[in-house]
Amino acid sequence: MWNFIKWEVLQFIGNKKNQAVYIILLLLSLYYAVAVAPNYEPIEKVSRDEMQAAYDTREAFLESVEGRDQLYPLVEYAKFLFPDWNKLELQRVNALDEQDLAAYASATEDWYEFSNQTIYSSGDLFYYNPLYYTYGNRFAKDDGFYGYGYTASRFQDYTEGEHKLSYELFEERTAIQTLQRLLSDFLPFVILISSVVLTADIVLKDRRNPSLVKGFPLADWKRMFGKGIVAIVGSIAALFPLGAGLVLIGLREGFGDFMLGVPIYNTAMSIFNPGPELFTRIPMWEFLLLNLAFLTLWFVALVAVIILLSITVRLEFINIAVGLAIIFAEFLYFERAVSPFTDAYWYPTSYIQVGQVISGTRDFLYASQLFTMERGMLLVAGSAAVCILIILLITTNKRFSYTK
Amino acid sequence: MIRMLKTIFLVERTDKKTLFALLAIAVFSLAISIYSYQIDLGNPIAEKSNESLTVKVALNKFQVVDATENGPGSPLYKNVVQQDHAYTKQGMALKVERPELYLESALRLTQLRKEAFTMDEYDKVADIMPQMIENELDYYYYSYLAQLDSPPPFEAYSYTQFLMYLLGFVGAFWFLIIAVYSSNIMIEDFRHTTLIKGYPIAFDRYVLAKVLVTWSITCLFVLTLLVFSLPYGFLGAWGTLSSVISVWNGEVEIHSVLSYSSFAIGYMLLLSLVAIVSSVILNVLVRNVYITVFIQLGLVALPLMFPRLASLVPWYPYHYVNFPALLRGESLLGAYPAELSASMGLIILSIYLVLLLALVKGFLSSGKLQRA
Repeated sequence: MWNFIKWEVLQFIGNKKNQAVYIILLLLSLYYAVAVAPNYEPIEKVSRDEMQAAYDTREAFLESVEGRDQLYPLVEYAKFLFPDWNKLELQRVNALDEQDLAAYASATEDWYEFSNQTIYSSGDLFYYNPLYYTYGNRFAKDDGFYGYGYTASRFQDYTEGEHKLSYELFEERTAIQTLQRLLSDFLPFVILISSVVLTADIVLKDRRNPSLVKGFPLADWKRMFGKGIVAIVGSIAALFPLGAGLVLIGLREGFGDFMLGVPIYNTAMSIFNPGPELFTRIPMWEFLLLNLAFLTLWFVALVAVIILLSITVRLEFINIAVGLAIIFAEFLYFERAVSPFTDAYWYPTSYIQVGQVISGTRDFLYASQLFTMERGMLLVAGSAAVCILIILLITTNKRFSYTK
Repeated sequence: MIRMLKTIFLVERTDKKTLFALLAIAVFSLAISIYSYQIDLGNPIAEKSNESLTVKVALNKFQVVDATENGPGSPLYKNVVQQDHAYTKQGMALKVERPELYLESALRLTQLRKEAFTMDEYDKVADIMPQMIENELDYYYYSYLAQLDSPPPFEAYSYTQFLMYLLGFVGAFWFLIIAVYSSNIMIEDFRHTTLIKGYPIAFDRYVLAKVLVTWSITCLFVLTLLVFSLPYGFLGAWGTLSSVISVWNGEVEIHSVLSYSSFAIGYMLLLSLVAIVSSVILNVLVRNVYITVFIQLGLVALPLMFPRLASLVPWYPYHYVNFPALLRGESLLGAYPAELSASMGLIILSIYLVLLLALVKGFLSSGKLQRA
């Protein structure tokens, strides 16, 4: 068995296609670090101008209604509200002027909490940062609600934890924070697609040279097992070329640290009732480990599906097609805020975006409480187990030979 | 030659990959037809309902003042207020089902937006307004409808309109689909070199026959796509041949369904040829299906990763593989706009194809095969 795995590893590494995948991943990550990451423009920027403008506008309004009574109720409301809002705004501006990052973090946390509660419950009286309102986005207000809550929770962590504060940290530009952002973005797709491409020919390649395989006196199911392990380890190894870009980002923007808090959307909260408990936090190392665990589960499931297809359908392009179909299936049925009308939480494919599942964003997007990490992991593991069982049933059949 | 064409065709016809691809295209086409019918694709009542929000947000960026002609507001502010009015009117026209009023207010809206682009402080609202070229396309489309005798009623797309939508959707991915499909065109020949040696015929002619057969199969793909989109017409309305679409092709033009579809299909068939011939070359050079696909993908991805290339090397053929985007004028958007039109793409891709064929003829010979 051990010799067989060694032999498979050598074949895996020697495969031109696999080498190409690793090189492409390396190039992509370097491209991202050099060309994309520096242009990252978060909506919640540290921008003195923006704050000053908001402050001046409110100040001008307060002056214009100074000393007048018998005002329209909404104006009265604003008159009551703006002094508090501006007090926080002024604290932020002053902290920036004095380069006092700790004070800035604390004032910013208060500001986001205050703004979020005010704006979300005000109807159409106030708006979130205009960058949320892109052309055609019907859920801009909800996005703003999530974004402000997330930012408030983040800044609470900067205030309470012992981190080395910097502007890069505030704008989530450091290497580890970039990784965290990307895990909730397109990174799971890239990783899982490479896993599918790496695995696609691991069984079928033997059909070309059946005589080579006969050199190992090993039961077929053990071979499949060995191949599966090689494919999973190979997929995990694909994470290393991606790390190169992160090192590059880290050298330029700082690395951040593993104790940073990652806000997790608290699905038990009703979104109609924003409050301080909207987000809970877990440490960065825990978030990354959970992601790694979930991704590994997905590797197991995808590899199991591909091996199953390889011994039944036996066509390489079907392996790729089905693998990609699993990865992108959610786009077929995804719709925002449809939780009461969907049973999508029972589909394993709803849990492809592992970062979003773990941080609760998926729940937020579906407006649901059911897309939990635990359920996702169980579903994916269950599907993998079913595939593995079928593989065992087929390969232990005496008349079966996968090279025929 | 004819006999060889026939032999290759017989082999390819029963190829599992071809059958699977045909099946996949048929299922996809059928699914998108039925789905589009279900969601009432193109129905203005469903599609316009959320657009007015953006104008409301834009208004929020201005201090509220008197917006009449002599009022103190900036011209842009007045313009946005008028846009808001036009939206309200449009929404009302939808509710009371008066197409001519709807058209009038839609036209007014595009006109207002057109004026707004040149005003001071436009940056302030640029993010939440449609891009200039989008607005221009809308403007021409509505102007065309306005000068018709009877404006079209509020309905979902008819089949002819859906056809243009479908071709625009599939056309965007066509090159990649064919690149993937044809990626193993010569690989089998390397595994069994005796097969190809059996033909008493020059290598370039063999390649030509193979390309022609594969290309005719891609024509079959297009046909499948069209046939399996017909259920949309049966379920809904067929529409008339006078349906139009506004496209950007160097300038904004109005095209009828016939001219747009024939252009799109012709373009797709040209793209197929380019993809197939480059697959042949790459197959001979790298001898690996995956690396062939990766290189094709890389060539297409290059201009997307480095948008500056559009103005630096406008003759780079892979700028032109996504022709629906070119027809929507997307080359004019972004940080590095360049005027890349689809008809220019047609010419450049044809020249590129001739160069590729010359490469096959001049540099690839069966000698390469023997070394496999």
